[in-house]
Amino acid sequence: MKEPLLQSMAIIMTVLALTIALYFIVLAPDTRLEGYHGTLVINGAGSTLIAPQILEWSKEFTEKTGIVIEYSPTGSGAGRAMFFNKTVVFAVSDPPLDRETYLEYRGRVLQLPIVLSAIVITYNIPGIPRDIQLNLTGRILALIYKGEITRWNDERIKEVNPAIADLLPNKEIVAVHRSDSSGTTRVFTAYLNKAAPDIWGNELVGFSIEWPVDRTGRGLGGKGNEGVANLVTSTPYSIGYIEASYALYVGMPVARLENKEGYFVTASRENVLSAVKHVLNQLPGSPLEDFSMVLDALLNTPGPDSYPIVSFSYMFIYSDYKDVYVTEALSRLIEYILIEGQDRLLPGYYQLPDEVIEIGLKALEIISRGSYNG
Amino acid sequence: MARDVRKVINILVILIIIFLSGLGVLPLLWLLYSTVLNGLPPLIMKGLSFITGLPGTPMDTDIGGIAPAVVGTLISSTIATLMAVALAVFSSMFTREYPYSLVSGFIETVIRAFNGIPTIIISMFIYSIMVIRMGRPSILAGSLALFIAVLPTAHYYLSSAFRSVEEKYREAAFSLGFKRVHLLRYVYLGIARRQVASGILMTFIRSAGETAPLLFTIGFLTNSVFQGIDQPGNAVSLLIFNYALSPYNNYHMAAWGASLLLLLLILVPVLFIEWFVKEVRK
Amino acid sequence: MGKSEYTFYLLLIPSLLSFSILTLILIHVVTLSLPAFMSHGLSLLLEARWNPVLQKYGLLPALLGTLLTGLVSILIVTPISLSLIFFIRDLLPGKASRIFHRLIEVMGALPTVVYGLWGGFILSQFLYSSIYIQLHDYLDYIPLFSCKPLSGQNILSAGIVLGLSMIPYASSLLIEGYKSIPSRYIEAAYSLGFYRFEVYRLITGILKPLLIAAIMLSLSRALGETTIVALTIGNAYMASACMLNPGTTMSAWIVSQFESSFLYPGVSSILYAGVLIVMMLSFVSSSIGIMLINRWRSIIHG
Repeated sequence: MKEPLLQSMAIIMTVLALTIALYFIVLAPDTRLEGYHGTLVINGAGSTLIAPQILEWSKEFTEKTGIVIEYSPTGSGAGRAMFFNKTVVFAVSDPPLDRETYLEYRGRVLQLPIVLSAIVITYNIPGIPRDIQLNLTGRILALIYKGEITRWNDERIKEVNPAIADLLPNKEIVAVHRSDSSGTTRVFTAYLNKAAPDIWGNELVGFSIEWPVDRTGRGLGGKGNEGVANLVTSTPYSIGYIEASYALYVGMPVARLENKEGYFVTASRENVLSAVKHVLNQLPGSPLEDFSMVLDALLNTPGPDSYPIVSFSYMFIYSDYKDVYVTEALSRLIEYILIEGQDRLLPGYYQLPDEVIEIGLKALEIISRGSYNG
Repeated sequence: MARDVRKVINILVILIIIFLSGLGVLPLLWLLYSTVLNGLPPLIMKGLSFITGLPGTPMDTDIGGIAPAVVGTLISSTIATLMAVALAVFSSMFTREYPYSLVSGFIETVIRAFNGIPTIIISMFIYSIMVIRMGRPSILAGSLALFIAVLPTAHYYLSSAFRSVEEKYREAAFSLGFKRVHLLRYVYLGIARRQVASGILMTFIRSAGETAPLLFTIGFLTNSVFQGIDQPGNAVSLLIFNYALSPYNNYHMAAWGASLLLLLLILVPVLFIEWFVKEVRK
Repeated sequence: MGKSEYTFYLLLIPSLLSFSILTLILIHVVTLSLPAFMSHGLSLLLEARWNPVLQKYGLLPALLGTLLTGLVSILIVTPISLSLIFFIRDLLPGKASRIFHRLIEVMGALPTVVYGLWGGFILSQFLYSSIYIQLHDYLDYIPLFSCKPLSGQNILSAGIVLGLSMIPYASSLLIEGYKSIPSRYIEAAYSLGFYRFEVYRLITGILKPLLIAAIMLSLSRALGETTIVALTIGNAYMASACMLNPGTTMSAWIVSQFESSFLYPGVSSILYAGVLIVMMLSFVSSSIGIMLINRWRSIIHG
């Protein structure tokens, strides 16, 4: 090229691009692992339910150790697919492996509960004062998502909300759910099935289902917990199921749910822990064991204070990575999450009881054994 | 009588044309206005750290920066453009030199027809053959996907550039004893160099704006700026897309800021090319 | 001549490389989609289900959404881009004309994701409060508007933003064509006493093949567009005739489902099958468009 102007422009842009790239390559922090040169990147993917917490932890852990943790909130379904596809090192899933999959991968895959969360029901009803909480039951929710309760001033909703019965508007309910393969959906639908099995049957329980309310035109699908939160915030007269932290963040009101013993409770720390306490003796002792019944066990637990939709989120890892550095990095991450991390929780996530932390810590010895065998 | 009717219809039609044109142009202007209005505050707030800093976490009040995306876009678009242009130079010259060959017709048809394919197919393809094999998404995978996506564009611009070289220059070159290969260097790239240069620039811009090919291929690096071509990265267009789908305020602001950045980065070369290349054509 | 053959083959190989990459993709998509066609047959296209629990799938919502948004976008692009060429080339004075033309070109280079961002956040809210509610209230006897709009995120919004994003492209194509019409025809028409609108009618007639080409090429792009749609369409897996309902298109649905599809047997094949269909439609549309452009060019320059 002989044109001075064009030539100089091309040179400038190339130099600019290279400079910027070089600047950051040079400045990338070195991973502080004995014997490791450069930066180690550990990729994970999965649940959006607890994504804000994992992202927060990832950032702190990366800053602290120089080991870069990249977590993609793709939803539990995609996360698991990628984990089994081996395109990520670890996955985070709200539901544990079901019994069949567990048996298929037994000994090779570990599950550790790393976060305790609660699924809350958030709603957007203009006209209802913010300081009043709506009361809802599992049956009502099931009927709403089935499309059978269509308006906010339905008798059944009024029945459990005597204080604001007159304020409930004669507007159609927009039921927001997930459009992607979601662990949150799996847990929520399992709850509906447990609380109202005659209304919400087994065929409607899953990561991704056909929502009956969609057929009536009043269903909306959001991608990820964040998509649902977004939709509820921007759609008047809507309702949705999301993790407590999202509701707190977007400032949307949250319903009080009726628990097994008939009390209407919020997802407060005490109420969530009360639910977990009732399940502690049913938990497996090691990450190598089967957690498949824990999902249902945590739903609608006994106890006057217990919040009915509580869930662990599990980290899935392989027992043997055949790579000393990956194993070491992962161990440090797990240790961080289970010990330090439990003290730095975002609002809306709850501390794991010590017994549960113990289970997770067992993973450390298991995987370190693995890598020296391979 | 008839004349008056025609007069009225004339005015009506002109009014309709103005109305419809306005209906088309106004939203586009509105888009530009919104991008500036919403994108300026985050850029001003963060200044240069918008380009050099790391993204914030969801519930953070800090908007953070988009450094991984900027670096990712620069690298992946550069690789994609270089590869696409390299191939397009050959295919353009081939179709120009041997326009009656069957292969030529084939190439033209295929490349032009693929101009409209759903770009997400490229993403699915690269995911299956590269991401799964490598065990992770990577800037390289994203670059390859972008390369495939902009190949038709590169071919289009370069073909136009080559076709604009008049026959007489070709003949003159041959009569001077040039071999065909030299033809490439001196006649095509030489005479049409401005169109070629602007074609390269336009290809680069197109690749920087593509989102779908990057979806399952490049990853979404946030805690580090750059890890290597064989490691996951990020891209500005992808960042805007993902952040737009999220409910977090700081992410939305970052998305607008990034959009304004893209707009400025595209505006400058496009206007430049317009002014520059138009000056050459009479 | 030995040397010329050498050049021929030298150039041939890289050229064929482009061609073969694209063919590879085609093969990949076709082979991976075959299982879905085999096991579901025609019901894959005609049913509207997405039930991983029962493993029953039908792509109707995605395909219908793709077609509907494409249709809406065409309805928007056609009259507006046609008007724009007369507006810019004929009605505006020189300087303003150049500015507008430049504006259109800049808008054409803008990435679709920015259109999607603006469309999803700003335009759809505006349309919801100013038009959609009224459309439903007053025109609900028309099936197109018979459903109550829940938000600005629906098929109509997606189609509108899609159409707006294609105006620059279609206009550029048509303006090029307009420029190539020998001015003597237009001058002759005026000298015969034609009014402006009659001249425009004449020009439109001359440009007809090009206009159809522009429509076909725009349609081809609209069918495959991903980001604009994903940000404006509401992502509900339902098939309905009502434009005010949220829906999905094949590309948008793939964004939502592809990564998790490997967990469920047969799903990735179904997604490939769906995208193959859209790809074929897009290919047909753009082929027609290109054929018409070539024919028009040979008429005009011949």
